[in-house]
Amino acid sequence: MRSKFTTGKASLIAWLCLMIVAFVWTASAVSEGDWLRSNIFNLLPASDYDELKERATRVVEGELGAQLLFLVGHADQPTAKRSAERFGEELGTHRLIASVTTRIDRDRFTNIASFYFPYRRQMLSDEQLAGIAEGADQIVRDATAMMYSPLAAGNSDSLARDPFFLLSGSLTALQPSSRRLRLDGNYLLAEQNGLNYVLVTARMVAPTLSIEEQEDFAVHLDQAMTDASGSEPGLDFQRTGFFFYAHAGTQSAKKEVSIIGLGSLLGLLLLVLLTFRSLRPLALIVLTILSGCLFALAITLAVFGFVHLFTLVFGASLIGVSVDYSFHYAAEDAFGDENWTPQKGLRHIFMGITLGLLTSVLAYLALTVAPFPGLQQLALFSSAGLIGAYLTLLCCCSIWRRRLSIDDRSVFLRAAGRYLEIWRAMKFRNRYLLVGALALMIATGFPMIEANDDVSVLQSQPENLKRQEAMIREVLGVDPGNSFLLASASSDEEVLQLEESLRVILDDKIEAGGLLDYQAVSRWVPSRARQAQSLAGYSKLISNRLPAYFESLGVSGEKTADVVTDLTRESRPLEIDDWLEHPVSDQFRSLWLDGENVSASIILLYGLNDTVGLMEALTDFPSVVVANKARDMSNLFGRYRIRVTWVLAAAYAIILLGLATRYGLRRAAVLLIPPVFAGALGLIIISGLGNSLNLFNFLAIILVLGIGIDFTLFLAEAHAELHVTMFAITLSALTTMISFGLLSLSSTYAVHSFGLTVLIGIALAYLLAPIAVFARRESPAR
Amino acid sequence: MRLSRGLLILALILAGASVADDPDDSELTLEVVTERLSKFAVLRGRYTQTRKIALLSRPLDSGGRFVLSDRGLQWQQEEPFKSVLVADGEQLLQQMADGPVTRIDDATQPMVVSISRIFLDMFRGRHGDLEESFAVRFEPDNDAWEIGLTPTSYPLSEAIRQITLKGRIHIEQVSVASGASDEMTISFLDLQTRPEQLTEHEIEIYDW
Repeated sequence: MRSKFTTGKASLIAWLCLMIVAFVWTASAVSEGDWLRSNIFNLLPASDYDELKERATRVVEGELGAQLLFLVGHADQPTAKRSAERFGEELGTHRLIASVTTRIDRDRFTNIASFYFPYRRQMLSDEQLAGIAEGADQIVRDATAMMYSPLAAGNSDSLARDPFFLLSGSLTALQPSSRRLRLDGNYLLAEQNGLNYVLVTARMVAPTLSIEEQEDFAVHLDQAMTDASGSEPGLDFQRTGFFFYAHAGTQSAKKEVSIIGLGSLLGLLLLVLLTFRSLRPLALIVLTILSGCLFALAITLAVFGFVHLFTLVFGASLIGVSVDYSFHYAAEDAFGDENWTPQKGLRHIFMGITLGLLTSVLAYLALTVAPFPGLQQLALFSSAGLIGAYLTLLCCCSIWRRRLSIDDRSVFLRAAGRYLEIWRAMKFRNRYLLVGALALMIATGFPMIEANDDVSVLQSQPENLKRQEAMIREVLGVDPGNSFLLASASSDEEVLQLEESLRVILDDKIEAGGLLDYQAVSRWVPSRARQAQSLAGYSKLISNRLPAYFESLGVSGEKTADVVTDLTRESRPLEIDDWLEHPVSDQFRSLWLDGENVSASIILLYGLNDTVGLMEALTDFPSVVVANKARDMSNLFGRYRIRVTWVLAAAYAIILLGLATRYGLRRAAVLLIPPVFAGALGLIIISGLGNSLNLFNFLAIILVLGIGIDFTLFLAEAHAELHVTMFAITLSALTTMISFGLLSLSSTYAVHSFGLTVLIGIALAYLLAPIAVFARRESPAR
Repeated sequence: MRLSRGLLILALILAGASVADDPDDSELTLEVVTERLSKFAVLRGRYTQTRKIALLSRPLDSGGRFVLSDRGLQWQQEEPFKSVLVADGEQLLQQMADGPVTRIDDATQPMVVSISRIFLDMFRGRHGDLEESFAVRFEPDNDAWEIGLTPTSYPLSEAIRQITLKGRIHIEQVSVASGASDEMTISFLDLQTRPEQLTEHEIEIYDW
């Protein structure tokens, strides 16, 4: 060990080579592009291990994620239409936009009508079938009225092929229509707050974009809206879509990165200057942290191929923990006698920082228990970063030959010394009393902690985006939520029949106000059973009612007989493949999932506000999966919060056993008291402040353990005078609190929870750290 | 679609009817025609309608009365059976004999209602929208005139081939051609702008 670190030049060269490799690797990955991502989906775990459900979730997220909705409004309707047209054209020129719809495709209606015309007898709606079952009087009356009314349709051709004009009603029932939108000259219009709004929809080429793409598109979009508004004063834009939330998230993360980064750096700078009156420790700190980050980036890119913005924000703070190492070294330097050399200094702190590194890495790796790809990446990034920083310190500290001095009057030095003295002067009995009192506090306070795993609390979305979404939702009359049902069975026919049974329940829910609407494939392709039922009803209608109806209109008996024969023939059923292969299924084709031995379909639910009620109503259909992203995520967060608690317990136990081999069980237990108490008390305090706890508070406790154990280990392992170590711990506790304290200012509640917990936990761990003194092998030097 | 064609016809009928009430104006334009529509509180009259459909061995003839007011249009068929149709721009109501009232609104047939709205707007003098949906031909010929309308946009173009309005001092005839050889012709008589109040019976129907 010694020879390895005393040959300063060799290790310096080795370190340089490592960093060059890391730099070249990172630079080449960055130059390839798409290395930095900000998409939330990359962070979220697979919500379930059900492969089919996972596929369905991806379909739904992909469908919804790529969609953009705009309302272009103006008091004057022609102006609104004109502006929407221009805006849509401008929008569509961007390479990331796959399609823009400003005017309804005039061919679509014709396509739908001509596609279903051959199957019209099999497509009767529930209402039409009920009308036939009741004797069809109303159907005949309506048809007769239609023939005479000035609003009448029905030319010779349609009278012979659709004598009761049922096709239009059947087609209307296919697709739920918006309550508020109306078709006007191919535009979809709605009136709201005295303005005429035109609906413009767009699809992006992909549901997720890289940060550069996001930025590029956001600029283009702003320009398109500014141009439109510039030429037409009084124009109003409302917009919604996943993109806008993702972009806002990126913007705020970017802002937070700079605030946290800059804030941490300034805090450090101030701390070092106040203490050492020299920038050299700072140079060492910056060198170790930057090298650590570079190393972390290279390793992360090698493993994941990309790095998430979230990883950078969090990870940089976690690597910041490595300032501890530099502080210990600097303190050694400043307090060492005239024979002190960098090698001696390193030897003194080597065991402390090595144990510290191992426990921190262990704690970070414990983060991977949550199956969040984001956290796994974070754990890897932070662990690699710490190792990089550690190696950097070991290899580079000898660069500086000149000694450090320390300001004896430094407020931190004196405060640290005094604080340590309080503990050392404490009587034996009082130490036990204090620890006992804290243990009692924890025992009484812990059961009162309340947890809330609702993810909707964790995400904070910009107000103005939520307002625009609400307004668009109101105008469209549908809620583009991402809840859905997944119906699966062993054959297509069974899936369609299952869907039809489910729709009965869903229709009841709509009636009861628990659901706004849904979209299901079986609306477009009824099951064969349903088609047969429809065909039978149609034939009954024709045989029973057509002859008299035609006679009253003046159709000859011969022609009537031909029509009856024609319309009571057998008919080939409409198959799912007919639909899938035809352009009419464009919008909803993706709802149908073909598996190896299984057929499945997604029923999209709009505006579901009674998930529990729906699940209860579906208990007779055990194979149907109710997917509600928010609820699934909340459950998952809850499950992992509990799992993290167990992992924490296991981590404490492992560390205890590990330390016991070196210190013996009793001393190891004493060493663990500060981080364990800090974690428990931290949670109690945060809960006592009126917060309900979530997964992120518990994840933070893992870090409190990892960092807090460093404090006690450094004190237990200190070679120099104890107050020097205490002083170094003070500095590192302060820097940690600065950087995590800044995280607690984050607008994202999850990040805020995490930062606040670490802030409070570390403060407590620091305050309790002197307990470790009692676990030293030899009695303290002074 | 089906319903809208009828509304369109009625709109044009009534447009023609108002022209007829103001014979002093020597130069007739579409603007003049539509502008005067707002002058009348209530317009009433009788109509006869003939529909020729190739499949039928005889034309379908019907007739009755109509009422137009700011509350919408009532089409009261008396022959060969009684039925009433009301359009107010928000919804359509239809009743056969004394049967139930059928309601068609934005939610069930948004397209139909939205198009009916355009035409009711036109009665109120907002003819700008008409030109968005139709190629309009207006031909005054001494004391006679003819308006030809060809739908330019879907879905109207699907339902109607051509609409022709003919008149002299009074409107005489509206023809709607659709499909290959089907045609509907409506003729008007006894147009009145007084009394300006709605009768109790008319109010009752509007209140359905």
